[in-house]
Amino acid sequence: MEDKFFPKGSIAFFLLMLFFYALIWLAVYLVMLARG
Amino acid sequence: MEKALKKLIFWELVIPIILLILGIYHGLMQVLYRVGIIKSIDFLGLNYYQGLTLHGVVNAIALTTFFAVAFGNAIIYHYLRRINTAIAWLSFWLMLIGTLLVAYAILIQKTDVLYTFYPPLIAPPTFYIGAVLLVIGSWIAFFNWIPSYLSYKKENKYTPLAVYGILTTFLIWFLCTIPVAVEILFMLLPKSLGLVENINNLLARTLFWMFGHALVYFWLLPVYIALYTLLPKVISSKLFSDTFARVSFVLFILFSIPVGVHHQYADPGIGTTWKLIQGVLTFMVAIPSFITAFTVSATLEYGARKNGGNGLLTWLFKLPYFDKEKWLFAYFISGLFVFILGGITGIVNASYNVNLVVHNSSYVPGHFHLTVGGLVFLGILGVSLYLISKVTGKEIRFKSLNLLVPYMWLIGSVIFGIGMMGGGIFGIPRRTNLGLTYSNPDSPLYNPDWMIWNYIALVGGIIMFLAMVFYFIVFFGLLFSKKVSEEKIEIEYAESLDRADSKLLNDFKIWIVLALILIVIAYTFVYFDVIKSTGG
Repeated sequence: MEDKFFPKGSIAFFLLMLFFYALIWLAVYLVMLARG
Repeated sequence: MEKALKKLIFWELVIPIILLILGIYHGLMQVLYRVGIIKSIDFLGLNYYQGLTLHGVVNAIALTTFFAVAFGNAIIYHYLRRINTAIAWLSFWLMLIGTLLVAYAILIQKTDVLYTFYPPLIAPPTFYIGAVLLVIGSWIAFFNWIPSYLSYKKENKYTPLAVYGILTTFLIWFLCTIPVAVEILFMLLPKSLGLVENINNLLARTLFWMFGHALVYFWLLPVYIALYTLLPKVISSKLFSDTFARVSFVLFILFSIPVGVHHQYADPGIGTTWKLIQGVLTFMVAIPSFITAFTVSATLEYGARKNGGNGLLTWLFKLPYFDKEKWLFAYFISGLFVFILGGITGIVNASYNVNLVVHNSSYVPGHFHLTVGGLVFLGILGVSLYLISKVTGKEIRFKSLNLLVPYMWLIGSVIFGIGMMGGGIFGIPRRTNLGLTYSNPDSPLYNPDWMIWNYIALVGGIIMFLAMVFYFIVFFGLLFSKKVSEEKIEIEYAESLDRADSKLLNDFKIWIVLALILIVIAYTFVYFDVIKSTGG
C-alpha cells in the first residue's frame, strides 16, 4: 500500500473544505455589501 | 537527571491546569453576564473585567506557555537525550513566580486591563513584572535547548521533526516577544511606576500586535507537532509527509510576525497600503495551516485505509472515534473539526474590507474560541494527560468520561461559536458587560433582537463548562491513581512515508534571515506612520 498510496480522499476533503470556506466568506461579504 | 526532569515536566503541566479552574469558572461567568442572568458589575467578589482578564491570562497565556515549555523539555530530552536540568528548573521558577505575581495583580489588586493590556488602561507594576518574568522563564527554557540541539547536530544531519517543530515554535516566540518586551519595559511599566506621564497608545498597540498575532502560532505549533508525531502513532498510521510538515514550520517562521497590523485595520494612523500588505501576508500565513490540514488528513486516510477503510470519503468512518484505549485520538479529531470552522472565521477576520463587518464584535471571541479554544485547547488538554500519564507511570481511571470530554467540548464550542459569531455579525459587542446594558431590560440600551444569540452562546458555554468539569474529574483521577508502569519521558511517534533529509529543511539560518528581512519590510513604514501620525 505504501508505494501506491495516493490521498485521493484527502484531496476531495480539502476541496470540499475550500468550497465551504468560500461559501462562508461570501456570506459575510454579502452582509458587508448589503450595509453599503 | 531524568528523575528531576520528569518531576519538572509534571509540575509544568499540573500547575496551569489547576489554575485553569479559575479560568474556566470565569468562562461560565462570561456567558451568564452576556445573557443577562448576572446583572451587576461584579459577582462573588470578582468584577466583570477582572474576571475577563483572569479568563484570558490563565487560559491563553499561562496554560499555553507552561504547556509549550513542558512539551519542549519532553521533546528535547526524548529525541536528543541531553538537557541541562538545573537551567530547566530555573526557567520553571521564573515562570511560576511571574504567574503568581500576575495572579496577585488580578485577584488582589483587581487588575482589569484584559489580556491585551492596551493603554490607556494601566495595571499595577506587579502585573507587568510578572508577565516579563513568565516570558523570560520561557526564553531560558528555549536557550537551554539550543546547546542540546547544536551538540546533537554535530553528530547528526537529520533533525527529528518534533525537535524542528519545537525550535520553530520558540524561535517565533522569541522574536515576537521582543516588541511586547519593549512595550512593557519602556512604556507600560514606567507609566505604571509613575516615571512617565504620557505614553504613545498607538505605538503601544502596534508593538503589542506585532507580538499578539504571532502568539497564535506559539499556541498552535506545539499542537501541530503532536498532530505530526503522536496522532499517526495513536491510529497506527504513518505520517503522510515529513517534508510537508517541515515546509509548514518554515512558512510559519517567515510569515507569523509581519502580519500583526491586520488586528489594527480600524486603527487610524497607519497607512492603508501597509494594512493591505500585511493583510496579504496574513493570507500567506494561512498556507502552512492548509498544508497541515492536508497532511494530517492524508495521515488519517492512510491509517483508515490500512484498517480496511475505502471509498472517496467513507474511510472517515474507519477511524477510532470511540475507542477508549485510543482516547487521545478523540481530543485531536474533535479539535480538528472545530479548527475547520476556526480557519474560515479567521480568514474573514484577515480580509481587510470584510473585517469591518465583524470588527470589535462578539464575532472575534467567537472565532478564537474555535482556534485557541478549539484545536489548541483540546490538544493541550489531551497531550497534558498523555504526558502526565507517562511521567508518573499512571493510567487514566475514568476512561469513558475522558472520551466524553472532547466531544462535549466540540459540540459546546460550535454552539458557542454560532452564538457569538452570529451575534457579532448583527453588532453585539465584545468585552462589554451585557448584563448591565444590552441584555438588561431595565437598561435604555436593551436590545431584544440580540438575545437569541446570547442564549445560543449560553447553551454552548454551559456544555463547554460541563466538559471541563468532567475533564477535571479525569485529571485529578489520573493524579491520584496508582502507579502501574515505569515512569518515563516518552513521545511516541510513527514513521513517515517520506524523509526530509535536505539541509534546508533541517536548518534554521536561512529562514531566520528571510524572516527578519520580511519583518523589517512589513513593519518599518508602519512604525514611521505611527510616529508621524501621533507626533512621536
